[in-house]
Order: sequence, then C-alpha cells, then structure tokens
Amino acid sequence: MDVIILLYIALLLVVAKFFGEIVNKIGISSLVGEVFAGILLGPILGVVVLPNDINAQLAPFVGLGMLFLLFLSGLSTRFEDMKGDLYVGGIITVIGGVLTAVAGFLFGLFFFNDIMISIFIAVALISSSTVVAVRSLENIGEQNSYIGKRVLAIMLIDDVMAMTALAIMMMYVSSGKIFMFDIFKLILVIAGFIGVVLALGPKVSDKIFSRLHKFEDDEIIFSIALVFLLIIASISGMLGLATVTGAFLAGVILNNIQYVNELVPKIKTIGYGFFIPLFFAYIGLALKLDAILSSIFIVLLLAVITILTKFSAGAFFSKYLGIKKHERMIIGASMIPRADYSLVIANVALSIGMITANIYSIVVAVVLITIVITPVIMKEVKWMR
Amino acid sequence: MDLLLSLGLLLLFAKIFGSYTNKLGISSMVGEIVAGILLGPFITLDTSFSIITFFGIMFVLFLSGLSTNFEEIKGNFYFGSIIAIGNCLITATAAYFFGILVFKNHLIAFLMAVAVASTSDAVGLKCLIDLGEFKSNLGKKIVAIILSDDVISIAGLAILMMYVTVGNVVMGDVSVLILMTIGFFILALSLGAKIVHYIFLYSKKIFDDEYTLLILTFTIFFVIAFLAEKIGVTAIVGAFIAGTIINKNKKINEVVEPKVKTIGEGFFIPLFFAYIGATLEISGLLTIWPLIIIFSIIMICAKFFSGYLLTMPYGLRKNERMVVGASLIPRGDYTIAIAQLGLSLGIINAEVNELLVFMTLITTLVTPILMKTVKWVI
Repeated sequence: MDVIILLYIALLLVVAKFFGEIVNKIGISSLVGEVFAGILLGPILGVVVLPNDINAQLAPFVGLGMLFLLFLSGLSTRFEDMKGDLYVGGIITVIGGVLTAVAGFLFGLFFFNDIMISIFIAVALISSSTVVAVRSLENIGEQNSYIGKRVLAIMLIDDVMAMTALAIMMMYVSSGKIFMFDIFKLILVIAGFIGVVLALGPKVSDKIFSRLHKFEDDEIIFSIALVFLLIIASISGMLGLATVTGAFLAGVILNNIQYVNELVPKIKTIGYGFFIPLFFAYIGLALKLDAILSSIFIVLLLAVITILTKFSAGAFFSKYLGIKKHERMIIGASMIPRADYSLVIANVALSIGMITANIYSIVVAVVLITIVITPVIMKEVKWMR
Repeated sequence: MDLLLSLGLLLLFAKIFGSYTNKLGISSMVGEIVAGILLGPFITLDTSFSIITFFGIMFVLFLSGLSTNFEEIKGNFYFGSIIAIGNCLITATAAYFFGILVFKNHLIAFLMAVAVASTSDAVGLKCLIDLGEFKSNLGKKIVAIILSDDVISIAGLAILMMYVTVGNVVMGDVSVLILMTIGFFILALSLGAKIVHYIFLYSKKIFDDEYTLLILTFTIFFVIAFLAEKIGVTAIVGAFIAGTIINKNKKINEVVEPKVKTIGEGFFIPLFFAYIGATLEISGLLTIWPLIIIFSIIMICAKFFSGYLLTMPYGLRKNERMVVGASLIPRGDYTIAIAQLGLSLGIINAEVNELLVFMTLITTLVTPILMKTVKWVI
C-alpha cells in the first residue's frame, strides 16, 4: 500500500469540507462545494492527479461512497408517511421523468448521434435530488407544510423511477438491447420487491436486530446494517441491477426497524464524515474543464432543457390535478435540482466505459448548474400568486 | 465472489463471532480472526481488499492513541513506566533469542521482539474488570503498566522501521536512531499538538458541526501518518501519535472518539482481523504447532515472571504480584498489526506471521483462566 494515498484522501476530504461548508452558508447544497474541491485540486491546480495504480486502490472507497449515499437515501424513504400523496405525486413524477428522458434522449441523438450516449443522458438526468430539494424548501420555510409533504412524495417515487431507469440502462449495456418485455418484468420485480419489503421487511429485520441487541456490543447494529447494505448491493449487482439500487433498497428495508433512530446517525457519521465527501470530490477530479469550455453551448442548452422539462411537469402539467398555482410553482421549482443520483449514474457509466470523460464532464456541469439555480428560482416563485 | 459480497460475509461473521467471544470474556479479536479462518476458503481476497485492511491497521493504532486515558497513569507514572520498560525488555529479549535460534535471521528476530513486547489493552483491562479489580489500587497500577507498554512498543516499532529504512547499521548507530525516534515523538507531541489545537480552535469559529470535526480529525490523522512514513517510522506509528495528539484536546475528543470508534470497530477493524484469519494457512499448522506451543509458553512465562519479579520492591503482596504478572500476558492488536506490517514489507514470511498470530490467540485465551486462578492462590 502506497501511503501517498493517505495524503490524497486527506487533501480531498479537507478541501471538500471547506468548500462544502462555504456554499452551504450561502444556501446552496454542500455537494456543489465538494465537487468543486475536486475540480480545484485536480483539473485546475493539478495537485491531486491519481496515477492508475492509486486510482485502483481508491476505487473501493469511491464505490462505498456511492453505496452510502443511496443507502442513506433509502433510509429516509418512508412509504407509509405519504400514502395519501403517492397518487398525485406519482403522476407528476412520471410526467416529469418522461419529459426529461425523451428530451435528453433526443438531445443526445441530435448532438452526439449515439444511442448509448443518448440513453445515458436520458437516465442520468431523469431524477431530481431529494436532498437538494428539501434543502431549498427549508430555505423558504416550506419543508413541513402540505406542499413540502407533497414534494417529498414526488421525490420518493422519483427515487424509485430513477432506480428503475438505471436498471434498464444497465440491462442495455450488458445485452445491447432493450426488450419491452424485460422492462415490464423489471418493473414487476422492483414493485414486487418493494411490496415484499413493506410486508415482511420490518418484521424480519426487527427480529434479527432485536436478537443482536443481546450481544451488548455498541457497534453490532451498525455493523449488521452494513452487512445488509453490502450483501443486498452485491445481490442486485449479480441480478444485473446496479449495486447502488441494492443499496437504496437495503436502506428502505432498514428504515422500519425499531433501532433506526440509533442507526441513522452512525450511518451518517461514516457516510458524511468520510465516504460521501470523498466521493463527491472524486467526481470533480475526473472532470475535463476543456471539454466543458469547448462545448459550453451544449452544456447551457442541455441545462435549460433539463430545468424546463422538470419545472413544467410540476408547474403546468399538474394543473389538471387540481393543484393551486402557488403550490404548483413551488413543486416545479423543487423538482429542478439533479444531484446525487445523476452523479452516481455518471460515475457508474464512466467506470464501465459506457461514456467518455467528455460526456461525463458535460453532464456533471449540467448537474451543478441545476443545483446552483434552484434556490434562485425557488425564491422567485415563492411570491408568485 | 465479488468484493461487496466478500466484505459483507466477512463483516457478518466477524462481528457475530467477535461479539460472542467478547461476551464470553475473551477479546472480540479472537472471534473475528476465527471468523476469517472459517470463511477463508470461500471468499476471494483480491487487491481491492488491500486498502480496507490497510485502513484497518491504521484505525487500530489511531483508536488506541485516541482512547488511551493518560490521566489514569498519573499517580503511578514511575511505577508504570519502570515495570513496563522492564517487562518489555525481558519479553523482547526472550523473543529475540527465540527468533535467532529458530529462524537464524537478525531482522526476523528483531521484528518478533518488537511485536510481542506490548500487552493487549482490551484483554488485560477486561480481565481486571471481570475480577472487580479495575478501580482498586492494584488495578490502577496494572493499568499504568499496560498503557506505558503500548508507548514502549510503539517506540520499539519506530526504531525497527528506522533500522529497516536506513539499512545495515552498526550497533553504534542504534543510539542515533533511538535519539531520532525520540526526537520525532517529542516534536509531534509538542509542536504537532499545538498546531492541531489551533486548527481546531479556528475551524470552530468558522464551521461548527460534528462532521467538520470528524473530517478535520481524519485529515490530521492521515497527514501525520503520511509524515511518519516519510520520516521512516511507518504510518501506523504516526496513526498512534495522531491519536494521542487529538486525545489531548479533551473537548474535541469527547465528540470525535465515539464516531471514530463506530467507523473503526463497526467496519474497518473487524474486517482487518477477519482478513488476517482468512489469509492464514491452516495447513501450515501441522508442521509448526510444536513451535507455536513452545513460543507461547516462553512468551507467557516471560511476561508473567517479569511482572511478578519486577514488582517485588513495591510492597505488593505475593498474590497481588501474581495478578500483575497474569494481566500482562495477553498480546493483542499490536502484535497482529506489527506482524502484518512485517509480512507486507517482506521482513517475515507467512510462517513467522502464523507463529505470532497463534501465540496471540493462545495468550488471550489463557489469560482469563490464569487470572481467576492466581487471584485465589494463597
């Protein structure tokens, strides 16, 4: 083991945290600062340029960063809290997702003339970020209102949709084709899995964890939760889904156990205190600035499309669901940010060689733009009547 | 089998076996290693494991520095350090001669000497708690010895690594090495601790959340470990020093220690010990078991009698002295971490590693039994 890796990790962590906190102070999600730290240390300053062997050694940590991100997302997804909003939320989500995916796909075909890239753009931009959306709702004081609740329901279904889209993408990458029948099967499997999880998961996992409690070991609940995460992620990888999908589902299973309040802070500690900032900074490292600058027009156009498709789904198409205008605007704005999912999907696609570093850089740039612009739009629409 | 599944299974068995042995009054390390031995044939250990086990060793040492409460030594500082130096020297010498005799290699013998010098905090302290002696006067004296002997073995390791990096050194230069090592320790603990103190002080003014504290802690930890490696005393010595430096900031330590413990003991450390178990070649046992038994007996006797005899001038009763001797017997994470380090650097081979690991397991198993026996003798 080359100890220089320690220095790289230390640098990435501390600079990521520094910029993360700074952008956090001005009301933007900290992940923008963390990705920026990576861009600064890598492409701009050239301080952290990982040779191949060190990159390979670091790979398990980056992979764990993605898993923890999605695991935490699953852990905060509680289906039963929002049963009433699921129907309306579902319709809005699907409209927004389909609009984005179709627009992204066509955009890819038009500018890059490549099916693989088009599918990637469609899938990567399909999902809004729950974390960033909640953050911007907090900024305008709406996180606990009925609007906030409805947004959460939208985000929840959005997560599930993104996971399905990612699974379809992985299927295409491995077999080169997309069969309607397989997609149908996949959706059934995912729906069935969630059904089983909601019916049995709490009871079974509660039993397991109660038994573990008798061991009187402070960390056993935490460790076994990690075991759930690792094994379910690995199984979904074997089934041809992405491992991150498994991580999300593992989180969904565990958020019903009795010890969840004890568990979540610990998962957050290992996640936000180590792996996740490392992952976001790593995202920035691989960015190609010249690729973004030379195709700045494409980046901006894609950003506008990405913003408009989601916003219009929330703000205009939901008109027919009987939602008030004021509320529709906020819903639309909160659907704009793409973040964690998009970055994870981009990193997966880059690491399996589905896309080039140039396409990766363009999509990451678009993601960052949507995150930065969300609080601005949110403030604008807040006062619209 | 892919990495995630291997990690998941290792962590599952390690944690369950570890909690079980912990409940039985033996260290959880034993269960974790056994879990690794059992799973070894079924999992693939590819290079992706290297970073996780590397962090495992680092966390063992960092946590050891972070959670050592040096306040406890205060009243017994001289007593503790004198007995610790004495028993470390005696044990190390015994291991050195054993190494020279059996393996006929100076460097192997040196590494063995350093590896076996310290006493396991976890096992020794747990036995004291079980005996109800933890808070007693005798208990405090023993704690002082056990904690001081960590510092001595870290210093020993630093000297060994200096020796390895500098190369063939004549005896006269060893004193220079020792001086350099001591210099590094003093510099890190005085100047380093001051810098760290100010870093925390200023960052607290700007950012005040617990994740920032944790990330700063990790940054300090990794940077000091990196510097220690570059200076030549190895990253794991740096990890221990980083732990003690952060430990000095009481307010920071209160927040950070439980979190580092969660990450260490909940993830990296059980995986590290399970990895150790999984890489052992059990078939090798058939040929070296007599060696293991002889070595273990020597190591048990060396610690027991040095503890028993060296405490003579301090007015302890005979059975109290026997308790002191018995509580110094268990070896633990240090021995295993140093053996693994030696293995990865090519200083020792798999056979010596096995000898050290099994000796460690035997001493941890024997200690609770011996403690209970000697307490009621006479």
